[in-house]
Amino acid sequence: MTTQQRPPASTDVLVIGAGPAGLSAAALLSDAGVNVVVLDENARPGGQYYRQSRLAGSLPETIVGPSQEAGRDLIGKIKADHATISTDTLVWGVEDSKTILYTQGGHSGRISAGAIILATGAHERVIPFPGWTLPGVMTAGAAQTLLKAQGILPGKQVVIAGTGPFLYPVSTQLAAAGAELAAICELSRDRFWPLRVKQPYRHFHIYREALGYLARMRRLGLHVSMGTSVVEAVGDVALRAVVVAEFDAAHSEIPGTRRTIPADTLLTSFSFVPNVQIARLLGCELRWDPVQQAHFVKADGQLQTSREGVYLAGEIAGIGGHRVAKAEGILAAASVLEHLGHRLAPEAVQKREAASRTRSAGRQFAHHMLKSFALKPKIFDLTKPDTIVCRCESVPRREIDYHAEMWDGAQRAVKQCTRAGMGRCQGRMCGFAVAQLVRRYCAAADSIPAPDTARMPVKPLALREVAPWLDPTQGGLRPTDQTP
Amino acid sequence: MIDLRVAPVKRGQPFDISVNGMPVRAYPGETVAGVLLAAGMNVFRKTRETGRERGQFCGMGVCYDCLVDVDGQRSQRACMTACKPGMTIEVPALSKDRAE
Repeated sequence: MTTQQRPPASTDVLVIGAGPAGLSAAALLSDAGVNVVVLDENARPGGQYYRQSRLAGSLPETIVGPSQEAGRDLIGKIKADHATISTDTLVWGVEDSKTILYTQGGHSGRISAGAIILATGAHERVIPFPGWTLPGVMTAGAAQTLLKAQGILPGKQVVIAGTGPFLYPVSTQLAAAGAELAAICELSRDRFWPLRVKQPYRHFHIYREALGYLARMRRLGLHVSMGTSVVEAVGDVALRAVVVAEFDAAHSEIPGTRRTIPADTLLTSFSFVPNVQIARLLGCELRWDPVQQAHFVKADGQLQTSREGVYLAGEIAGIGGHRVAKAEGILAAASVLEHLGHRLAPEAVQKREAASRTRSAGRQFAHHMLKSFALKPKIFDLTKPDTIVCRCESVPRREIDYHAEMWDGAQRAVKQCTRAGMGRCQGRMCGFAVAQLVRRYCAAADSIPAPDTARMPVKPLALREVAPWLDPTQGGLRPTDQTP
Repeated sequence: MIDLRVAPVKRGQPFDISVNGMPVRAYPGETVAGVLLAAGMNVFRKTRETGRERGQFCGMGVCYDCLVDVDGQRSQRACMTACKPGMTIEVPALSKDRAE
């Protein structure tokens, strides 16, 4: 199979995102003899979970676990004569519901498809606290990416803080690779949440995986401090120390429990935010998820979005992890095959049935997990008045509170007045925190924040990458027949 | 000398890139952020608004905090840019009076 090549001008099916969802969709589609193109911004296919090495060799499984090899297997199943994976390719816009705009190597292009599968994944959710903009403070995903793709540690003395099971693979992988883990802080106090899931017999493999992590942690001498969170990152130019404290079940800091831990690296992990920008540009309807306090993309039983011919799989439907994503890739691909008028081969029907069971069990477990680790409103007391909330525009909480009060919690007004969420990342980092801070000033306590409008380009581009597509007389994009 | 590269992995033939005029060792496939962090440099730039330091944050091309100049092109994401032999990197934090 070819990667890093320029995508063709048209294809039967376009898959956006080469993670577990996109790759499993591409494997089924290419196996059925349908032409499929997968676009991904990263240098290698795999997404976050299957993140592949960028180096000549890979780290051993004893350090990075089984995910890289599983990813290599899945990539190997994609049939070369029907599939193109174009990496280093950023999707930045849409022309209509069948045509996508991308840039690769500094040059933009368009690709049209009979159907589209959105598998754009998620990135880490962040909570602002004093000092979190200091160099040395990163997301846990940043450290894991650095380790899996490049065999590089983020620092020598590492503190990990956040909530949810992602803390476990990251801390074991870093420790196995030689980092000193000075503390692992889990905000929740609940150790036994997995045992309270309904129908626990459906999740045997998850328990086995969890026990595997606990055994590895024991061997590596790792200890998790429950009911503990970072409260401040300390340093002049870069991180020197991390202040942590104990928290009660309502996520209020318990006075008198602060302690300072010397560290050059702090990794935070507070669950994930879906990448819904391309779905928004395509006009797909969203749904509000009250547990994750975020908008996900709405889909029907066939995983078709509200736009005909546009399907989805994985995290943008709801945070569910790699098993659910992979299963939904198969389900979306099967639906697309039927949409294009193909009959499913008997093996594909079997795969769909198995995927359907995996998906329903996986979504059930994920829902229980996300509820067990849901953040309580008090956690935003971590964000002090002078703490930067929007990293891109350096907007402190004080300004957000001031305008939120003045505009009775109107998200758009606060954004326009403060520029929070209007910088280079387009609110991907601060959006969750800003929405939570602003909605406190709404008259209705259960008001749902309006989703941000997605605009092209969805990520910053050089002018030369968009210029050929702009129409100076219309103040927008050129009509299709006039673009390069 | 700080080196945060994990030992048991095949890396291929190293080469030098230039970081603010200094030669820094890189291995094929490494990103600019990876090379800087492995060399113990985690401060990449200062913000225009506050003058405060920033480095790699999300590590996956989302946050746009790890911006450096690559071969004369301003504000490139260090975490998404692969190193090539002879590449010239300007880390804004190491230049006087430069904010991004």
